[in-house]
Amino acid sequence: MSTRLISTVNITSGSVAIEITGWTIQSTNTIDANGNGIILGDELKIESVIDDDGITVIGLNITADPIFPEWYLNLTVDIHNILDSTPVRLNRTIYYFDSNNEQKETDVPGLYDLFKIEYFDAWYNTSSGEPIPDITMHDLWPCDTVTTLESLTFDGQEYPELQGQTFCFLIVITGRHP
Amino acid sequence: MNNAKILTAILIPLLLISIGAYAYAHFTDSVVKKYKFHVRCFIVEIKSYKAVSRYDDDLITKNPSDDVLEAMGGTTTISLSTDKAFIGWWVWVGLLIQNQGSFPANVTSPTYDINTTGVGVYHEEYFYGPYTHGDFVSVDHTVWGGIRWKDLEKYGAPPGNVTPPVTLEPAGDAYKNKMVLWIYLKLIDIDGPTNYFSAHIQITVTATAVYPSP
Repeated sequence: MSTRLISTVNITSGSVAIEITGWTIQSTNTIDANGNGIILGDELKIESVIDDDGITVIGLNITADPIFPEWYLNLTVDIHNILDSTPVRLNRTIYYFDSNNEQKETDVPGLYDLFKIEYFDAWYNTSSGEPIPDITMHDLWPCDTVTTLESLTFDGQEYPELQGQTFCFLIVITGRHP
Repeated sequence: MNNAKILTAILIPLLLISIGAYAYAHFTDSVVKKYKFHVRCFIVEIKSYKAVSRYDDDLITKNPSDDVLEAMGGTTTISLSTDKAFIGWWVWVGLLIQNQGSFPANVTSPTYDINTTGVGVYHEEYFYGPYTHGDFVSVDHTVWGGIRWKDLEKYGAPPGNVTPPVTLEPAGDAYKNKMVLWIYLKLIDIDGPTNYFSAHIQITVTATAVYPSP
């Protein structure tokens, strides 16, 4: 004799989904190095990375050539929690590519050590303009948007070994269900 | 029965891993900003230098030495030392300066520092250039290689000097990225020693980048 108990549970899960809905260059001293009268789209390029759906912006490729000692870029990026998703908390992780082109995690001091990039970011509510002191503790509800202000300055004057170098790093904003 | 327990023990972790992966995929999402930068820098350095004086050159110690400077590839600061300095002691210092960076640069009068209390440095600067590599070869004998202390003492600085700043173009043989700077240095009395003394004079090149207007 045996008894069989069958329990069926239906689980409905909401997905976490965030996107970039806008960006603005607040200020930069990028120069018109080739003298063609164009800077944005030439010496400084910001291109959207689109998801497979052909609509959602899931990244930005930001290229600056040349940068020089005291070069800076202040950029704001709007990050939106997509409708019908769940509330999320965001955090920022920095990665760089080592000499073997392998992606490795670093942090703000590490970014300076590696590339002499002074990095600073701040967050605020896009609608109200209120600052968000700790984005990792802020619940971003569906349909809401936050803005991150990123400030990058190249402090390379005393590091001529960086001359001629090209380097890449990633700022990854991850949304997680609280 | 034992087999069933073992199977269960294997299946449960597999199930948990699968659920975990599913949950992670659905409960995280990322946006990525990829930054790609290409660096161009500003480097104006002394590639070679000489100190010529009626007072025996052997009594003047140059730092860095010629060999070291060549190995360094350039420097922004040089120094001269002597144990036989006196008020009125003079030396002509020639600097061969090159822009090794990627941006134009304006070269102006250097800065001086002397370590002997009560002794000052009188200085005059004479700028020559800018030159391409080819230009410099053709004028070498008149502004650099052919210069002797007797000529400097008798005739002063070589003719053909220009008004500073001298704008040096970026690195590259086709560019006007070289110049010569002759400096007349003379030790003057402020409230210093009357006999021979040791002197250490430091000279630092001053250059500023010329970035195109943003």
